[in-house]
Amino acid sequence: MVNSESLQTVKSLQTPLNGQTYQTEGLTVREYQPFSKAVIRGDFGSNDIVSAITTSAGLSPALDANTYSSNATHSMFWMGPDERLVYSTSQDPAELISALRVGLPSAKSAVVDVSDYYTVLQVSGENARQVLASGTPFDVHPRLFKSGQCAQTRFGNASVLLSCQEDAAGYNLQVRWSFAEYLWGYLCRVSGFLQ
Amino acid sequence: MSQNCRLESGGLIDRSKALSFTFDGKDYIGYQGDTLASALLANGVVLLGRSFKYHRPRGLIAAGSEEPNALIQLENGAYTEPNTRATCIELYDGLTASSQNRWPSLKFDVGAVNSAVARFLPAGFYYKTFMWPASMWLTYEKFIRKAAGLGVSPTEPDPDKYHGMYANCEVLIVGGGPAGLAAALTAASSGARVMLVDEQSEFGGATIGVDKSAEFNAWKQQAITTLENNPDVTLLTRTTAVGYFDYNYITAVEKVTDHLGPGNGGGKPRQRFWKIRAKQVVIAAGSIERPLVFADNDRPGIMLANAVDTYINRYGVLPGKDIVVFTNNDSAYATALNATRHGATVTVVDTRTDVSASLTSALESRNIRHFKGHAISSVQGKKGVVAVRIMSLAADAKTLEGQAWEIDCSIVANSGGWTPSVHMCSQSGGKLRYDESIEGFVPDTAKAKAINPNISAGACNGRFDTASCLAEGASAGSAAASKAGFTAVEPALPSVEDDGMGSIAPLWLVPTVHPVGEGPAKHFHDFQNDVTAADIHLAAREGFVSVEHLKRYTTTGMATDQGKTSNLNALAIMAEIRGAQIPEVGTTTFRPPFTPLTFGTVGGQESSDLFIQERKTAMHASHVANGAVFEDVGDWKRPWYFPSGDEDMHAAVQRETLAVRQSVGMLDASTLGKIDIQGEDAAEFLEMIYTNNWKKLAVGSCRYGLMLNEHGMIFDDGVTTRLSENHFHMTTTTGGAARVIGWLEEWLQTEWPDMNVYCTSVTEQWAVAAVNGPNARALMEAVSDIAVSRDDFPFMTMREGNVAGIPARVYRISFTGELAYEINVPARYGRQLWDKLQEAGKQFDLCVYGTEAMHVLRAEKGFIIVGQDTDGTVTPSDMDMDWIVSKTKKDFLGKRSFMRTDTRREGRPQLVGLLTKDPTVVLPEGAHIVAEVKDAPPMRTLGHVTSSYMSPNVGRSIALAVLQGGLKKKGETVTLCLMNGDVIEATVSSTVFVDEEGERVRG
Repeated sequence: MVNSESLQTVKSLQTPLNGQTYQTEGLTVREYQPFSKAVIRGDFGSNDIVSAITTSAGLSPALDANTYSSNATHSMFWMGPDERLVYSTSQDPAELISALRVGLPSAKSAVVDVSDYYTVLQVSGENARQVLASGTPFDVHPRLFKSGQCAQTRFGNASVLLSCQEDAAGYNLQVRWSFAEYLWGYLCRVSGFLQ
Repeated sequence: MSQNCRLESGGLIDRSKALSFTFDGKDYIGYQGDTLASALLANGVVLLGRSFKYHRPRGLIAAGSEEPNALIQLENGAYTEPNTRATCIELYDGLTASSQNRWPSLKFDVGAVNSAVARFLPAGFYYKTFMWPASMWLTYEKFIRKAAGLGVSPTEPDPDKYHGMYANCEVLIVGGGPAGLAAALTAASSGARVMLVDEQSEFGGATIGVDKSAEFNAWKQQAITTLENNPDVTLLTRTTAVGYFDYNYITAVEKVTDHLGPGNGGGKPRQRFWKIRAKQVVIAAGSIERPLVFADNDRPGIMLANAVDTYINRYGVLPGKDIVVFTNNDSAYATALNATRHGATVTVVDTRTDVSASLTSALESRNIRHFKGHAISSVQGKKGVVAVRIMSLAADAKTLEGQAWEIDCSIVANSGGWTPSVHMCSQSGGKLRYDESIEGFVPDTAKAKAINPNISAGACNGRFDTASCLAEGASAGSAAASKAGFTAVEPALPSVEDDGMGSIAPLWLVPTVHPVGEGPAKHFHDFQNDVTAADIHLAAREGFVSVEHLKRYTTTGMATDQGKTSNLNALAIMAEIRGAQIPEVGTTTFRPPFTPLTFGTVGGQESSDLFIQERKTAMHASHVANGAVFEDVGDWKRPWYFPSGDEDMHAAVQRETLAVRQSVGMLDASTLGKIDIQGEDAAEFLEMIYTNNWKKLAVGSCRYGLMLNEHGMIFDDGVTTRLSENHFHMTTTTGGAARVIGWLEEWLQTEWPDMNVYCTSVTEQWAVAAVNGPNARALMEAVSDIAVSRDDFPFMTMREGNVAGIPARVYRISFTGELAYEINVPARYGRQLWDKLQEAGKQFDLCVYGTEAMHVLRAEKGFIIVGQDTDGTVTPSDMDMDWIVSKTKKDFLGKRSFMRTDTRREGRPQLVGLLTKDPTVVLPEGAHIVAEVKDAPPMRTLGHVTSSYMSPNVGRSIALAVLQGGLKKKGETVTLCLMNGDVIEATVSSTVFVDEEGERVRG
């Protein structure tokens, strides 16, 4: 997972929730500051493509379904057989896009800037799992959903990319910009309803 | 009010905590630990309601959730809840309840006349009588519903909060009696995640309050403690599993704070709706005692034997001093002994002649009168039992004979045997088999539904004794854990003395001195729907002999209790009439919910603002600051118009529409769907998706396109821009964004997998401000470093540069017919862009405008809106857009259908303009153009209005319409007939009302 401290350094830019934090007993929800995100499409069965990405991102793409790979600056999520999603601490999305394009055949691949399409919320604390279970049918029990794993599922009516953070610090929920307020309201409301 | 039926000691109630409550306006006192039912019974209240059809006085029958009679209107106002079972309402201080289905009062009910005319109200009566004439049904229905009564729904919004929650586990156990506890303890020993749910306020099931044995009591306590301390175990009391769906998806309702009383739950939700996915399910749902069907067996005071036990053991209530126990099996003898121990005078009436010596001697030792081979022939007392008459049963058990004995009593504790609670098994798709040894249906393990792996254990599997329940539960828990991939350790189980149903000799219908259906008495089997044995006879006479017909004809089992106490009796009586075996009559399928639940629970937290997401653009806060009135477009909140001062909608829209064409206006166009398309075959792909040509589109140029579906009908439209040789940016309608990308992916993945094309939705990556109007260029010059002269940045091209200091893609495309720039910036800059443009636009009187002005502006130009001017049945030709369909392309989606003779024929509805003769009249959208005006519909329709506005730029009303053969009718007069009868004449015109030559857009 992207180092969360470095994400905090970009202060001036707008996110749908303005980087706010919500704290209650056993639960912290916060929105990350904006960071760069890109979709890579291509044939991940091709060694050329995998090695080009490994070189440009300094990170080999996750090859197993519903997992992600990460280092200090990048995370790469498996989204489908021919699709990965890259998070980068780079504050300039254009820089990430052009870096990722290096070595990729433009005729047979795509790199798309989705930095602002999505925002990411971190859900942490001892009640995090109960809060998640209030909105998603996906099973986040630690025996089944560990750090390094991710899932494209739903929370309430929102499509989300849910991932388990590396140091078990919590869970990340990526959501479309326009659904951020809805998701935030949902998380806050159910946090008061727990057992 | 004294609790005259309360015992001095005993029970699980807390006599130090008195609770006051009100029933039908009278005040009573009960104790902490009571249910409303036990508290009323303690106070000697036996008359709790009137029956559904005959309005007969009714009292408690049961002590649990199977109760059919005691349906209560709980609380008042917004908190009121109808049809709650008194046996399931935990008493709290200040509780207010009233009886239902009586008018004007419980003791004097005018509907009781139905009982007197019962001969004329047989089964099927309502259907037969009120079916004709059909036009009167709506009138009949009001009276029937009012007379049928039951409870009243609240009219206020629900003030309570509800919580929905998903859960995943390896083993779910439904029911926390001995079998369920043993199953949970065993399964949990394996490390599997276990959930145990039980509808009662504590675990123990039928053993709650019963002193089984010290060993058993200690085991039970230890089991609960062990489970509580296991972090992988979820224990839920007050939780009813209500629905069992495929792939072991079980829903359950947890009553979190109901027992505290309305508004006393603090921050907690009133109820929680659990949506559980379990790898394995153990059903340990217990069994339900069924009543004997005898003459006037519905009189208040006639209860199930185990209910009498429960009221004594758990609630310290002896329902009456004089009790007749009426049974056809051994289990009720325990009730007789128990009641005697607590001071009642008991008489046992057993329909069997052959009763085991141990039972007989047990009664003898207590001096309990014992009648074998006898039955109750009649019941004295209408609002409460005062006596019963018993007679000897003839050898064939079909008639009574000899002398009638009258026995004074206030309570009849009756038992017709025990019915395994197979509801959950049946809901899971499992089939049942008839087990003659217990005279009941049990799960047929050979016919279970494979996708819903479950095991029934204990009484719901026909094993009624506690020792068998414990053993079956433990082995089911072990098997379930093992099937889920875990290894369980079977726990040591306590020994318990022999209990259970013992032997039974069924007597499904107890005869009386008159044949069934004749004479004054009624034999009820379904109390809640007021169905009698005579109704079953009638159904048989009329040919409704199969269970499915029987059920629908008589309404047996169709009440809110789902026939928990009635179904088997009804089947057996029908079997006797037909001379058939019970399994031949069959059983009905049980359906969710097991017990009624409130809508609030199912909705959970997803109410009010969480009911449906409100999607907002990056500029939303600015719109709010500008005083926007919002419109729902799909899930989006889009500014509809921006009233200035005290303007109404019409004034605001007229002002905004004028301002755009006179100077410059700005619209938030962020919600338009946007799809990034890359790959070497992208142009080829677009050739197939759109009707027009794309291969020769220059880099940096934009083109409008129409998409057709396979039927050749217009499906979506938008402008697509070539960003580089292999890279396109497509826009779609706001509402069509998700549909279009699904459509593109479907073709790529299923039909053209060899194409090198990648589509990525980027709708929300970009915030879009559309600047429209003659001063748009001047505004751009003021804020942008992009060269914007007509030659540098022509119509239908795209340029990249900075706008207001923000990196942007600017598209010179127009949905107003004015000089326009659609400025796209990453969403993070959206609000900044909007505010800066608004500031810079002041010198041009920039007007922010909403979707309504947008609609007027595009209609003035005859631009269609897919979904408004089209409805899925129109082709490009119908929209007078033949110019956009390539005549040279080999193929495109929808081409074949588009070329069919029917889609080419003349006389199809075609898009035209309409100008009303009176320019001040704005036609309603949807108004029909008719061939000939008649006094009333139907009139032959030639078409209808699709868009209609007052246009300030044209200075009159304008409309778009589809009209049969309309393209050839320009200049003709048509007639429209409105819903209110008004007739309006209009002239068919061009669809372009402003700047027909299109000079302004190229400006």
